Amino acid sequence: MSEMKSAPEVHGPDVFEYEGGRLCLVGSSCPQCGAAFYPPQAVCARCGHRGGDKLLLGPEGTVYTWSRVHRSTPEFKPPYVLVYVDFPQDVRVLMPLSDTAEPQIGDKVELAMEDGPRVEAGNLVPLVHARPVQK
Amino acid sequence: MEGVYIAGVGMTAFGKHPDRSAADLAAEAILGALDDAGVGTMDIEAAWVGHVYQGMAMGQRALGAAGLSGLPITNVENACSSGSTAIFEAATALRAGAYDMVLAVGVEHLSTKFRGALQPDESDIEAQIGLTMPSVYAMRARRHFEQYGTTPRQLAAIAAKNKFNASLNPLAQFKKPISVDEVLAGPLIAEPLHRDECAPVSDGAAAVVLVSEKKRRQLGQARTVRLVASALRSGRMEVGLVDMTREDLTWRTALAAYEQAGLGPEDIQMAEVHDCFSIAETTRIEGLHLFPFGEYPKAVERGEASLGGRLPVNTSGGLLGKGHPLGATGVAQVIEIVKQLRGEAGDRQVQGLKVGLAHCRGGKARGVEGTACTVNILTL
Ligand SMILES: [Zn+2]
Repeated sequence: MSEMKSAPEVHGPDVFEYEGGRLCLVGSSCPQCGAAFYPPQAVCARCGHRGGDKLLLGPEGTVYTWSRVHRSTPEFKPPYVLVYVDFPQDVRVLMPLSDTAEPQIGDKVELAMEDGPRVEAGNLVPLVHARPVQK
Repeated sequence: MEGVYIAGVGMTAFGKHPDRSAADLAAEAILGALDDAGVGTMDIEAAWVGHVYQGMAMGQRALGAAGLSGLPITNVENACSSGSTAIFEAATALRAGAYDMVLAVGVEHLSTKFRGALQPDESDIEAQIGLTMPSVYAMRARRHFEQYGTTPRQLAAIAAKNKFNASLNPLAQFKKPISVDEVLAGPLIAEPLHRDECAPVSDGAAAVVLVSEKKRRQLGQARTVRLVASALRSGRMEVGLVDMTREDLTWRTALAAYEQAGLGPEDIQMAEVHDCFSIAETTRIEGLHLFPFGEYPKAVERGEASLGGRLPVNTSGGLLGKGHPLGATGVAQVIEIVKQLRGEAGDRQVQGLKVGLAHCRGGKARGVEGTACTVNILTL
């Protein structure tokens, strides 16, 4: 990847990409040791190699753990559910769950662009969410 | 670690101090520590001052309010480990022979800076999608439930234990014991954690006078307590899908401290650990290898971590009971061990104590399990 940023905007356009019509997150992998990261890392945290290859995360993952948040800072609108999603590419990413239904550890999720829980100028901000895959 | 001793300790009551400044609180702690050591302001050769949100030159304001100026002063920010990092830096300088008598101070006036849930730094990518500190630990608790069969009731028992201990500590923020049922009946902050399983917003300050072996002999002070280990480590960037219930950072720091002290987990007779949340006490204690992984919450239910139990934990009340003025916390933990070792802990005294451990860690940044961790071990 050329001009790889180590800290992209959380909802900026360089965070996600569609592959085969399905939403994926853009991460990176180290060409030297294979370690995978989200967001992309300019320097490998495992071996120190500089530069990384683009690595798409998704389109599905599993819930590693979760919490329904009831108290937060003024920029957020509780209650909302956060999940850590484990991707098959060996990367764990935090994201909101697309509804407040209770997930279970191990649930399969896909990625979806939805509003919330962040509020800016009175509006919910679109963010990449985890959405339970219909069983 | 050769020849570093705590010669004096001082701290303010922890709680809400709306009519006092951070510098004023720090001065009370510093003067208390000097009096306790029986030394004067002119005897202090250098000082390290830990805080998180108190702004530029907090150390100079704090020491100035206590009549100390002109000496080397270093301000230390290391998230919740700021105060204990000040102790680590002070001990390292003494060990290097740079000084013979120095101060380590921690201070925070948090009630004027924050309301509600603390977050990682606002630039953090996870903070930007709503991660709060309670939710970080809530998600670890959920994994502990899943992997070891831990129950909400067992975690609530940790909060009840610490608030009981706090009721025996005149300087603690919480004065009243609370039952496990009352903890569970409280509002949820981030599921599965209830309000009383989360450390409160607190103001306070704490200070210790550290001296070299040479200075200790000159002072001829019988009440000095030996700091046999002081270790600091930072969180490693996590690669791959790691087990969130195991604190690699806590263990690496503990291992360094155990090696310095020539002691192991089996030698520790009491511990003050960073219980910013009920689950945090669990993952700290297990990360220090003081109980096997998955076993600590059950042991708390059996009373093993209570006063009179096999390993009393957070006799001061911990962060949950004593309060958590971020910068002051790590110093106050060491003060509790010093008071216990000297036999000055009043109604919460641990009998026959020879070795105590203070563990402090905190902060969160994306990709690391924790930002900074310290382990200090003290002996008679
Ligand atoms: Zn690498």
